[in-house]
Amino acid sequence: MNSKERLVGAVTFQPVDRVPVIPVALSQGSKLLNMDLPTYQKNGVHIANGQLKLLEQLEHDAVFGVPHVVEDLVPWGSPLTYYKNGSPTLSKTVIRKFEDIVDLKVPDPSDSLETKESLKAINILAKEVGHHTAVIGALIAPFSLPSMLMGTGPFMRLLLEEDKSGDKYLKMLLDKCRRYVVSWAKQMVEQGADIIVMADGIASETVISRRLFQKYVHPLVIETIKEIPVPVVYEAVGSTQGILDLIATTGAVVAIIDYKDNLEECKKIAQGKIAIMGNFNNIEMLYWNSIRTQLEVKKAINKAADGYGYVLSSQGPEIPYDVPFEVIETMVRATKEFGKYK
Amino acid sequence: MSTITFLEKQKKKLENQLRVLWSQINYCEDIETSSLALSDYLFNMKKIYMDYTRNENYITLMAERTKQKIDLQLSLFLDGLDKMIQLRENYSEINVKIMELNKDNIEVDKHLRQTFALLQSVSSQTKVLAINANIEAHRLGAQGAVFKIIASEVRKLSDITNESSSNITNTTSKLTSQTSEMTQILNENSNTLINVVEELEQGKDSFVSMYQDSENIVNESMVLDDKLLAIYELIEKVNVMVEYNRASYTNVKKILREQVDLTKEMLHDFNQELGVPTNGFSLIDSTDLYKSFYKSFKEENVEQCISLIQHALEKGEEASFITTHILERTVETVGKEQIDRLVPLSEIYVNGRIIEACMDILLPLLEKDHKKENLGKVIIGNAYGDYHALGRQIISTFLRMAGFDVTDLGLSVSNEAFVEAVKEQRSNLICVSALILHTAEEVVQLRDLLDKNGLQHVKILVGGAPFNFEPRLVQKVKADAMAANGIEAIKVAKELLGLMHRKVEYK
Repeated sequence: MNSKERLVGAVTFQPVDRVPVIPVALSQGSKLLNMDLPTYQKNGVHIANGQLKLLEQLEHDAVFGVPHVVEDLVPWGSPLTYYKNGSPTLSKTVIRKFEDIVDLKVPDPSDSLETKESLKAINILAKEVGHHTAVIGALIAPFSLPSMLMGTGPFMRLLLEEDKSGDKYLKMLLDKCRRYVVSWAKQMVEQGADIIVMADGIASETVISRRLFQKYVHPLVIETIKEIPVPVVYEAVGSTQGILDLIATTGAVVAIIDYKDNLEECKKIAQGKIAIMGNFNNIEMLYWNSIRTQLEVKKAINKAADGYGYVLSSQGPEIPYDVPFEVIETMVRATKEFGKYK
Repeated sequence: MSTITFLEKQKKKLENQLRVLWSQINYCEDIETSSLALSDYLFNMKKIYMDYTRNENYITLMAERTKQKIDLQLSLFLDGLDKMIQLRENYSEINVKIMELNKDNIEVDKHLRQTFALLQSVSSQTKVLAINANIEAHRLGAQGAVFKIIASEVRKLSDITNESSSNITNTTSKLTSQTSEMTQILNENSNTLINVVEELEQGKDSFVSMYQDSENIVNESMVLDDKLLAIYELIEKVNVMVEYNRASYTNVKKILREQVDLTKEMLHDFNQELGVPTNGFSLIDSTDLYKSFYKSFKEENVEQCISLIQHALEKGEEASFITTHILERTVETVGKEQIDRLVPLSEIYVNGRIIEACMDILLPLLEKDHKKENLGKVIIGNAYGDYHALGRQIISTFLRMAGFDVTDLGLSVSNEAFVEAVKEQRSNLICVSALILHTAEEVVQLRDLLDKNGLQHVKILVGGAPFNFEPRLVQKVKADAMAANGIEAIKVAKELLGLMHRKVEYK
């Protein structure tokens, strides 16, 4: 059974040999290639090579064709500031006042150096290992994209004001973002992405209430996923347990859950409806060692590997650059050793 | 001053006192309610302990059972090892004997070969003798017939001797070679045995250390069990204390009510003296104001909250009273309610917006009346490279409400700008907000820069997702403390600036 078969089987609740393991190691490839992070992140060939090297060493169950999701903002006109030890940040707000939303043009997602390079990386990975290992493309979900275009505070104001006194700009903005996301996902799929991870940074119960999720996020995610031709992994980035039942009806095949979510409870809610993936505390991983990692793997498997439908991973957005490599290695090795489905 | 003016002034003071008394009664009620919630938490803690251990030193017993199993295995192992060592010694003895036997065999072989050579020589001479005897017998003719027979038999004897000695030599050689082979095999076996015993002896050390570890685990488990029990007992004591406190607050409330009645009577007397009818309106009003404000706050109705405050101010309520007894109290109560559930950021954001809108009305009045509480200057900003304003804005609002003089430096603030602001404002506290890990790590440089500028006394309070995920990060970035929300930020800021009696170590 190869990784792709294992992953597909596991997330569709079919018998597979073991729990699949996907470390979201987007930046670690640069270390393996002995190059600084910005150089690595800006070049599709490097990204692909880094992922291939990682796969060669770890033999885990999927590779990522993107270095981060912040790149989604570049085609909208927000350049990035790069750092030597983490993901880039945005250096410009695209929407300065609500009125700007009316004239906001939806750009071509591949209209930036960064996104072009990601497509290149996906293409290389698909050709090299796509026949046995799933190639993952990742992007920002349409509900969270606006908060990056205008800042979380202003978006929150827009959301809450229009939730109270009627729609004016919100629907228009979310629709523009949805069109962008669908187009970006399709381009990734064209280059060979088997799965799309949709990161919804402000959709979890950590940021908005279940009511707001139900009213705004849920229909938007359904509409978006409907148009993406490959399986979608949905990540609400934050507490997911209270909305997991809703996520299960969006059409997503996997939901990434937060470290604070109760893995056992989430498994019960999701069983047979949607697979779950997670939920190592990625910041805490900075302080783990091999033994601790093995214990965490065992704990997670005891809680969630009952009746398939579980992928061992960390919570989003990624494993930090400075997490010791032995921790990631142990995460994969221990899952292979102890990751038996019950 | 005329008596009437004096009486009116005293009446006003009494009315104020009455409002404060009502507010105190309300606080007592809040404490009673939260004491009940506290009792529930304590009950749940006790239940967790009982469900887990059933009060039977659960962990120690499990550790002890494991230790005993290891002990048994260790005994079996040591027993086996002793037997192996005995076997190795036996093997050595056999080996020595076999080697001696081999040596003897070689010696026997050597002697036999010498004897064989001698026999061959005897046989050869006998053969020559037989041939000569045969010739002589032939020469003698009929008289030599018997002699010919003897010669022929002597030749046969020579051949038999020759063949037999050759057979003996071959057999002995075979025996010697087999013995040598056997010695080699035995040698190899003996070496394997020696190696195995060596490995087992090495394993013995780790086995023994494993046993010692298991013994340590048992000892540590006993300590842990004791500590858990100690915590359990403390919980029980706290529970009793909470109950007593609740009873005390009920009594305080009763006393305050008596005080209220007394004040009411006094007010009634004042009114009679002044010849005005007793008006209970403003007395009930402050309680109603709190209830209405709290309700609107919960409903996230900014407009209604503002309107209630404006209305109260118009009716003569003091800004300081509204800030402390209405606004802060509402925030405290809501904060307590939020402990037990996940509060979405959107809700905190709305709460912050309401507080901000109310403070916009109240602050100028407080400043005008010189009643604005000044807890000190605070600098706040997002870490360098961080562009996530929401958390920072919320914390800023809460700190302002509490009476801090907040200077907000905004998004992605360089460490130099933080230091500059501290010097300019003579502030002793910097609050840094960060949503991304590597921007959070900027705080290390900020600490260094502060120290280099002789500002070691300036404290750093941090907040944001990475710190919530892993509180040890606070220590790593050399910050002094973290706060997860607005209420906590007020408390921690006060503590860091030495404004509270209790000093808490957050690291």
